[in-house]
Amino acid sequence: MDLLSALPEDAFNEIATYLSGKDVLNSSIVCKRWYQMFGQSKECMKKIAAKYTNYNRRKDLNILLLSNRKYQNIKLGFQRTYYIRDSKIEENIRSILKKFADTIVTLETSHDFQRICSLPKLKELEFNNTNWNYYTKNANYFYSNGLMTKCTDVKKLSIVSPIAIDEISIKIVQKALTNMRNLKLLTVNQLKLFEYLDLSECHFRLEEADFQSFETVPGMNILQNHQSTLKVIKLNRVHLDEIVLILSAFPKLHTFHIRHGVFNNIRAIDFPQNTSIKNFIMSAYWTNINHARMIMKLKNLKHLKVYSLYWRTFCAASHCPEIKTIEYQNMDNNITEDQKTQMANYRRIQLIKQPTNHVYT
Amino acid sequence: MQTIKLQSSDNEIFECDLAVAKCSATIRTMLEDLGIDENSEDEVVPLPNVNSAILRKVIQFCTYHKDDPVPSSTDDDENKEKRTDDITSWDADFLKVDQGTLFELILAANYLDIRSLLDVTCKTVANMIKGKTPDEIRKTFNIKNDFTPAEEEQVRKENTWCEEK
Repeated sequence: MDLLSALPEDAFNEIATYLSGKDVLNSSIVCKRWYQMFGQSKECMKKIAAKYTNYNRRKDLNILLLSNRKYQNIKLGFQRTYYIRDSKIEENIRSILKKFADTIVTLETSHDFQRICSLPKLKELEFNNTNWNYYTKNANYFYSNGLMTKCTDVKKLSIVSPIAIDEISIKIVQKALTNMRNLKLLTVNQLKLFEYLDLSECHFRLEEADFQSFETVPGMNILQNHQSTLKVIKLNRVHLDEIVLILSAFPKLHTFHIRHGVFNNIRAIDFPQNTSIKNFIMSAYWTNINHARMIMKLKNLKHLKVYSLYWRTFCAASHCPEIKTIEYQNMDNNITEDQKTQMANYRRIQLIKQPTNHVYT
Repeated sequence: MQTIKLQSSDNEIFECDLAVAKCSATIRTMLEDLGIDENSEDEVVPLPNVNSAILRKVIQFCTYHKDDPVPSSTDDDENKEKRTDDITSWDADFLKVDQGTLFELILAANYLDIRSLLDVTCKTVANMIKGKTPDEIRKTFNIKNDFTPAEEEQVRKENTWCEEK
């Protein structure tokens, strides 16, 4: 027996924490003993995901079903942008879930299921490219047996639909959310979901919300119910010219992210006077005067991360009494030598330059 | 300086600084919970799972690191792939040993619950695996490939249906 195989499980798992998914896969080919060790260690299982996306190939299904490996992470049909309900496909997918039911922690799927086995360890559920309108047509079918309504112990829920969600689908989501008491992170790309959603019966402890687009201010009502627990909110792509959050009800956030995609037209977010935001992250290429004004309003701001550091950004941050650091990737070319000297001598703020490939998250 | 006596599995007695011995959570527990008197000159802490050669190395490591701050970990840290390129030159030199000794050190660090030693030894082993092909790993650990060609092909097929999380 080789030396690695002789280690106790916890020492082996400790080594596995330092390996990448590719290292784990390569190690599984070394010998039969290592195939077992790397295929069934909980640390190794975290590193890889099993994907099943080509429903017509029985061969691929067999590879998964006959495997001696265990999987925590399963991706099913996430590349699809449309939905076909086919009893044979459903049967295949169910057989995968059944085989790994005791280990599945994260599930990415574009499917829901009429019948599903219990997934007792499931903590992260991601509906990717799900065609919710299909469910509308089959509402009764979905209501009673939906994956989302059955997996009530999830901590992270993501609902990304390419098609606008209608009222029946909203009710489905509401029913599911009512039962998800441990939910901490919610990701949605359609705030319309929450415009009509009555969350008064929900008791989940939302700590983080990640909205891929921001389409309606009433959608922020979902945040009001979580003022005491919400710590981070992320707006990934802002489509509106102007956003004014409801000041009196704005949650007591600690972190606020704005990630601009192709749009860079946000004009303002009005923060309440007593906002508790300590970290503000703006990955936009450009900091305009309105962004600078937003920064100035953050009286408790301690750490600012920006993609580009402009003189106005620095001046705005210097108005925040608690500010300690500014992280940036690029410094604006128009900053003069005199301004650079002023920034360097302003000891209250530490400037930290990040490498240009740094990703702000 | 207060000292303590540690007894290896081959009955060699090591007298070492109490602060050094307390780098081990197992020894701390023994002293605190099992009522071993730190001040008694006759009291010896038996360590039946560690031989004298390894215990000598462990004491050398703990003596060097006894004043290091205790690192804190967060949930985020646990979910990240940890770094292996931050081994200090002293630690790297200390771990220039044969594989047998390296694995004995892991077992000792695990048994004695010495976090810093377990971290650095596991990183060293991980570095022996990282970025290598299956064949290179076999050579490094002197492992014989006991898969038949068909079995190995099957595992490789399985791997194509996996992706890094």
